[in-house]
Amino acid sequence: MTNDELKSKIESDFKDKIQSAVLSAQNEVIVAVKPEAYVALCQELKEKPGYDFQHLSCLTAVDYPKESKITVVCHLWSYRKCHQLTLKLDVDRVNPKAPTLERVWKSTNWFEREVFDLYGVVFEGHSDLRRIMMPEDYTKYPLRKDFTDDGFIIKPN
Amino acid sequence: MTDLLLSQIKPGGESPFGTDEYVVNMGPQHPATHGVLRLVVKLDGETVKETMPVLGYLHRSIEKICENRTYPQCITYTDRVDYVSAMSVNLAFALATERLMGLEAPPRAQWLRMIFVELQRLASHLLWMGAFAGDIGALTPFLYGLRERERILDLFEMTCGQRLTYNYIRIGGVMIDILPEFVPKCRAFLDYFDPKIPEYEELLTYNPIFLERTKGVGVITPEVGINCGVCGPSLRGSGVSCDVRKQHPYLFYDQVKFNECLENDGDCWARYKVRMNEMRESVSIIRQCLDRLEPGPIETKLPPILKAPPASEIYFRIESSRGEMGIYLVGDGTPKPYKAKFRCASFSNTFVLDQLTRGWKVADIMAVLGSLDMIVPEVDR
Repeated sequence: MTNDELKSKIESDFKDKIQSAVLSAQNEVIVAVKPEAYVALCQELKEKPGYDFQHLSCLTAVDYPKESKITVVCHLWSYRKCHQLTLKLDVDRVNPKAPTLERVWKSTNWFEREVFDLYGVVFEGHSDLRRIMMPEDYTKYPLRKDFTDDGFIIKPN
Repeated sequence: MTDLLLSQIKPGGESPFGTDEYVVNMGPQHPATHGVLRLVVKLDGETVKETMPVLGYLHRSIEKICENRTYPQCITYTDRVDYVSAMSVNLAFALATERLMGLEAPPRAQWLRMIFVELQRLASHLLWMGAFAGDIGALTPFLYGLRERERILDLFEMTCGQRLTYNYIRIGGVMIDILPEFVPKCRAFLDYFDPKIPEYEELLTYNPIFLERTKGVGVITPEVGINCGVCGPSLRGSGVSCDVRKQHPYLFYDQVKFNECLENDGDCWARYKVRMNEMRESVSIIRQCLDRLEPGPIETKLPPILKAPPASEIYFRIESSRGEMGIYLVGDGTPKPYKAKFRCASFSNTFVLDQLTRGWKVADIMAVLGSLDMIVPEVDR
């Protein structure tokens, strides 16, 4: 299945669960998910024949302070079908909350802890949501764009 | 008093003192944890109840650093993500950036990249073999492994001047062309290396002590492996075909012949076998690359300032020595990446450690941890 076919298949199968599906200039299928259908869509993508995304390759986030949002990004891969999919979920930047995917892919446990640690996104329902890289008493979120700290200086261009 | 207490202990009966779980810290300065990883282990006698890895001792926030550097500057930092297999990370970042900007390296550069990445895989697997055997008590293979690794590092040093952090694979090509004597020296090394693999296998593969420590220990079933995000040789030990070089070929991996090494048992021994067989395949890949190496340019012409198109993004995966290495880059039209994420094999492989060690003895933690081939700078980044 080419990426173009994958995109149109997702568009027709999950019309009510997604906001948009686009084929990027780098030939990747990028799907923006509706927040309420996030976990259900992931479950279906994992189990439905034809998709078979058994492997969650990566889960991370991108901070967009101008639009006041943080985007949680998942990269899925199918070992059987050899295709890739990018899932995006926008969460509010002031009070960032997203449902956990732990019940779909167990591997998200640490990925979500990392996003919680570095971006401050709270994954609801997560079994063990603690800081993973930074000290436990740390209060800031280092990968946010407006992060400042003593000793952290960004040199001007 | 002591006599009174001792008199209460009946042979074969329960101790009047009661037994309790106790918590032991392994690391962060434990020599066998391959860096500064701390394991908080809950023990019942010698039996492991729970293993909780504590990360972050080597966290340098390379992703934040990359957001504040230009794309070519980032390559230097990628060396430090995984310093035992620096070429692979160089390659992953260079390829991701090239895809993002629509560039392509000339064929000679691609073949050179393949040669160096496969040599790096040999060097990394050799060090792993030594460390793994050392972890479970066999110290000799470490010396054997380092002896051959030294000759690979000499080849690297000859080409790019460095032995650990190479910064050799650059965006659009490679740093510098190989010397004329590189090809004969590399061939001589491969001829020398071929009979060495059976030598290691003689030391370890059917050694009764080694079998005792690894056979049936830390079994990853395919379902658990896939669900927990295990990747690379560790997952191939469970019989799951997951080699990115086969599934989603990059460079010229679709033009060379090699086998994906699979084992079915999923235990430490199977993971060991996969890596030993991968060394053989790597030797064969390097030979094919050397045969097809032709003169030509080694880098494409790059614009003076490398800028990614606005609102562009790429997720690019390669098979590094440790497994799936993914680079996620978001470009915003400036010379610096808006977001750079390194998805490292060690990070997801270490996650499964808790599940694998529950119910095993405390000494088995080292065997399982060693067989997963994790490296701490890659976990913490």
